[in-house]
Amino acid sequence: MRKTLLATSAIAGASLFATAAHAASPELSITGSLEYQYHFFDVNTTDAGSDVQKNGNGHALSADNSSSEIQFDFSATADNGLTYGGRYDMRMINGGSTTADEAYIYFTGGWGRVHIGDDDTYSDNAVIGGYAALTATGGYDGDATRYWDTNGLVSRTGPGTGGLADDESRIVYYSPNFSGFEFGASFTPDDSEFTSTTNPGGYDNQVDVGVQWGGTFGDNVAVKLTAGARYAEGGENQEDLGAFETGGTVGFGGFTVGAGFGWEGDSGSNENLIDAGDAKIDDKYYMDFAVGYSAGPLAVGAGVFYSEADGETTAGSATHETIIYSLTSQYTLAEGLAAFAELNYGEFDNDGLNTNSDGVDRGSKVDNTGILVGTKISF
Amino acid sequence: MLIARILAPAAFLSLFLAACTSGTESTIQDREERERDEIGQLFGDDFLEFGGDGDGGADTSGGGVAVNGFLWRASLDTISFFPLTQADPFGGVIITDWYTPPETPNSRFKLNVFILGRQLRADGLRVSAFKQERNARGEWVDTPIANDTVVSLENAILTRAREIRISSLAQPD
Repeated sequence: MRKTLLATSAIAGASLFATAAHAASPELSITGSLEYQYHFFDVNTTDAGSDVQKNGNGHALSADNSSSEIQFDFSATADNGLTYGGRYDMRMINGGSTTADEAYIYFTGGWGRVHIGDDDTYSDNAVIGGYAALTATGGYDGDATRYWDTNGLVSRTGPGTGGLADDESRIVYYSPNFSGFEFGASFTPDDSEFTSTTNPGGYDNQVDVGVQWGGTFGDNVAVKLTAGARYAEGGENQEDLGAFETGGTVGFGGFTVGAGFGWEGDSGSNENLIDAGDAKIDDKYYMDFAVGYSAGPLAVGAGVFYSEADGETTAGSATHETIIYSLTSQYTLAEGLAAFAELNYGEFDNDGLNTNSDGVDRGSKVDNTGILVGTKISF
Repeated sequence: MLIARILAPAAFLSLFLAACTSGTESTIQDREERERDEIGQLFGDDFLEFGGDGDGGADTSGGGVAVNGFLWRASLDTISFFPLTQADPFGGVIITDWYTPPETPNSRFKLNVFILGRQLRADGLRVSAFKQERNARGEWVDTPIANDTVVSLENAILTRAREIRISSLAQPD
């Protein structure tokens, strides 16, 4: 008995000593997820310049690339209190290969956090829209349009404004959270500086800023408000990027109501119509609204997305409209395991651009319907 | 182009200066992190964490103990007057022998303490208590024990664990 007591005391003492020694030790964590979806899709197209109806449908099984990944996070704290670390994110691509997604180094302290490397912009992560009330893959903000045919002049298929892609090499700053209030910024430098004296196309030197506030009223009402803006220089014969987005959610009981709005004007448009295929786009904006409800493991949502833009090509001008309706549902079967289903219906309409040989405007319109069911595991 | 080159560093500098007061960690997540939060994680929040002090800053498994070190130490401290028959720091199990308090020679008690995880949290601890009383023939017979006794014991262990954690944080590395 005495030996037992002595042994346990020694182990307990050792563990306590180890605790102090580990307070600032390096840490590695591994997380990830795997998601597969089965899509059933149906496309009805009024072809440009004719009365011909193209109908198509099909089904496909695929992984969701953005939700099938393994992520390594590592960090340590220096003696001066600075915490430093990094993230390396490997993402699956259908067909059996992988690619690096996010890969960045970060530094953090009481002043906030800085990321240096391939990462999302600040506003990409901070700004939300009505789609935040949806579940499953996110309806019109998710994988609804993967197999759709937009056949459009301005083929916007979901929320977001243009700009340099996610996971470009950039510097991102996240402020601390002050009573629910946060802000930040990111800068993506000129990526053609050393390869060309003129930028043949694409944005350069993109600056993003964003702000968000989250708080509660009483015991049952949670509010989140966000806004962001971005600017980038346009390439050759390309308008500069100037865009802003705002959105938020209100949650009460099991309900969440969300709405969003984004405007990007003529961002990215050709400045002049020079070559066939050039397009001038103006007054480009979107808005969305969604309602979600969750009860225990079940979450459902319904939302609508609308966008509009004016377009002009050497062939004529058009008003482009997109409207998508989404119904989403998800059931968490066990910790880290969920099944989901979505129904999405979208209309993409290029009104006024396409005229038949008889001079009659027939437009170019595509109706898409998609059902997807799937399952995902996170670890 | 020139404007952007000037504005971008200036914007960053002003943001840094503005943020040089302490708040709490940013709550902004990317899409994949939000999805993982929705459905949880197969192995829990920190099963696949190596080194460090875990999410709650209280994980001592890196020292060779597979359960929370503060709960382990606090359990041993709190029931130190009981004789032990088994103490497994890897399984998180402490089983005592029967103990007869001097003031009640006809009652004796036995405890099983289970530490269920690596985090310092209230549901990471479970205590089972047993009581026997001596009858007129001198035999020990099982007697129900008040549930309050078990809750009081668990609270005592949790309070002690918190004290140990606070004192360990106060110590320099």
